[in-house]
Amino acid sequence: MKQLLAVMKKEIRHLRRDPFMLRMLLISPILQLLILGYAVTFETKHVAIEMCDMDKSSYSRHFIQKIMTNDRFDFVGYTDDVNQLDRDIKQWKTKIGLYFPPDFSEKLIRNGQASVLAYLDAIDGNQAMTAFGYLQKIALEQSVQLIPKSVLLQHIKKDRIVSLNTHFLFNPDLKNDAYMVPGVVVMLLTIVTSFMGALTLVKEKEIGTLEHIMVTPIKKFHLIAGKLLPYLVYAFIQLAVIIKLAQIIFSIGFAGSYWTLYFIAALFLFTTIGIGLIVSTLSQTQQQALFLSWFFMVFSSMLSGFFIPIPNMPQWLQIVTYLNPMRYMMTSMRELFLKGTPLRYLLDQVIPLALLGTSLFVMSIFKFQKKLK
Amino acid sequence: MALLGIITKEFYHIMRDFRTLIILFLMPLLQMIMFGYALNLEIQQVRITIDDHDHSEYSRQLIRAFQGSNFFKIINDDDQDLEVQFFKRAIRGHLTIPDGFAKSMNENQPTQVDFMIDASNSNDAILIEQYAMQTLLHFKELIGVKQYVPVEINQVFRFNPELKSTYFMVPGLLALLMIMITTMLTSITLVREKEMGTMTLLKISPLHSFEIIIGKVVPYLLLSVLVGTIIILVGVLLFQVPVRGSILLLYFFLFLYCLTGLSFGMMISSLAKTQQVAMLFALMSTILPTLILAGFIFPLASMPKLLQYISYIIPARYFLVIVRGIMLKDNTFIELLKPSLALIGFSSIFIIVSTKKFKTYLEQ
Repeated sequence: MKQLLAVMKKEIRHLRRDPFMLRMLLISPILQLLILGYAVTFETKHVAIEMCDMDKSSYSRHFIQKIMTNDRFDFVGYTDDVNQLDRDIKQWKTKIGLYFPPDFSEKLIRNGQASVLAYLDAIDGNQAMTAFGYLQKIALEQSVQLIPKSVLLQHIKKDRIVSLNTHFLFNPDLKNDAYMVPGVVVMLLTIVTSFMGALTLVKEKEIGTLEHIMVTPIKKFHLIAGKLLPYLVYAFIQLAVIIKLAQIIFSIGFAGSYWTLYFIAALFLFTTIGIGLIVSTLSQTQQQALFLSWFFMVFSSMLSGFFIPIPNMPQWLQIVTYLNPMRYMMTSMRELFLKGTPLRYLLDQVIPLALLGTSLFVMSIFKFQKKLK
Repeated sequence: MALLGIITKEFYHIMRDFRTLIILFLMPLLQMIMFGYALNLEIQQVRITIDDHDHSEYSRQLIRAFQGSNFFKIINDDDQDLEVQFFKRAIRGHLTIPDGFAKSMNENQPTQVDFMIDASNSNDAILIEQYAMQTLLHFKELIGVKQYVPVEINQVFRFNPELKSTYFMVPGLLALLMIMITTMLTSITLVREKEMGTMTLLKISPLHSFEIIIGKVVPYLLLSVLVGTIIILVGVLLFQVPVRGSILLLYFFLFLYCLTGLSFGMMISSLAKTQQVAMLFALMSTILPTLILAGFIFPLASMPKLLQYISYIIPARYFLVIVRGIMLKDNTFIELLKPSLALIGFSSIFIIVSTKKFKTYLEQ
């Protein structure tokens, strides 16, 4: 016990002496939460749109007006040349070009049916598709108001109105950050524990002080535990602070139980620390350690469902994700935050996490001890 | 040529650290392959349950419409509590067809069905709703009713008519991986020599600080362009992303971008006191900003204004436009003048700062 405390004291003193590290540990999670929380969004908003209105009637103008006042779109200008729309998309000046043909209003009044042409920059296919969906929605809503009643009724009679009465569960305001911010919390938790854990041991190895410690009567277990425990404690405090901050800043509720969250987080931290240890045994220099932890970080966040839905991946890659501890943490955090899922329905996440955690941790300790000998 | 001496020395350093070299080549390759396959943002099959209280021909047709859609997968309701089904993530939607559905349809009344969606992922929820509406249209077709659409929008999807996500991702990955690699590579070169004490040897050499900086950048420049070539090849051969513009232009910008990253790393290296600080700083200032604030996957226009302003100081933002422009839109140099000036500006500032900083260090 005394030995353990001694190593911990030494590690904390190291940290205190390094003002950069300290600042990084204290400020960067908060800063990252702010930036990530606001930036990580797939929402389609303010898409640049250019108009080519050859009709110039009150009908087309009404339409354009409605699109201009919608915050999904940013109006960038008019042109009288339909080819200009295409050129401007190519030159990154607009994302959408909307063309109203000269007979737009005439057809609308006479036949009750008209068409417009939309050019969309489809490099980002998802955004193009979503923006197109919004355009269609505006067209549907507005045209019903515009067309003369008699024409409208005539057409609607042949149609039957079946509509959807949608209930959005768990997140009725459809807040996008309510889904992304819990994911950001998991990311921040992983960064500290795996990077710091890996670096602190390799640093001693690189400067050669690890050998000094090895000749002291300190047991290897105490060394590892003593060096890592401060970061573990830090990770828990960070988690608590970040969750509170996330709730305040992004006004997201936390629907689940905190005890469940801390329990699952503890299991998860075992795995990240295990990975940190393995990285430290595999690398001789801090640069290598950093490269390797970065490697793990990128892969595990990519295969965790944080921003790429796992069901979208090819089958073989989905199987790989089952080996990724972050995947289970990500799901649990989101379930707890938004749905308040009770622990018994999260067991399919908790059990694999516990298995992975213990095996990774035991493996890493063995590997580390062998390396020291 | 003293410059040549520095370049050769740096080359030896690189070649000797075999492990880093392997990581350097293998990592981007693996990430490229994984990302390319994984980064598919289109939503896939959504599991739903259906409760039919009407049991009419119409309600069965509606169920058939949902069955026929590739988007929904109907699973059997095994009499479990609905809330539990949502908690267990067994379903993401639940459709209730009310009693009297067919009657209301026959009387030509506006008719509603209830649809519950797990909205914890709001974007998905919106899409699920959109697809459900489309399925309703399909249902109308099945029962022989023509949907009335007053204003039809015909669409032309330019540059990527099949809406392939690889077209979007592969050029983005080039920008992301290259900035990380280049910055990390040079961020420690000067600090390492400071820490190891070999810097004093450089101090007494007759070399100008600018020469030392350039001598250290050149070998890494060649190395990183080689890595970039591998990434482009994987993108073109494995993911079939076209290069519609000029390859020469693409390489010109690849060189320029690598130079920006390397000189940024150099600047970090000249400012930092320890390797650890340098590396952490290089890591933090490249991965996250490039991944998040450069328009790599998250649309910049949707972010708060402040973050959009911050994005202007991220080199990858400009390179993303350049590389997507050349590969997909066949942009010419003139069309890319603005972003290329930005990259040139960044590189010169970084090189000037690092030379200045390094010079004061040498004269201490």
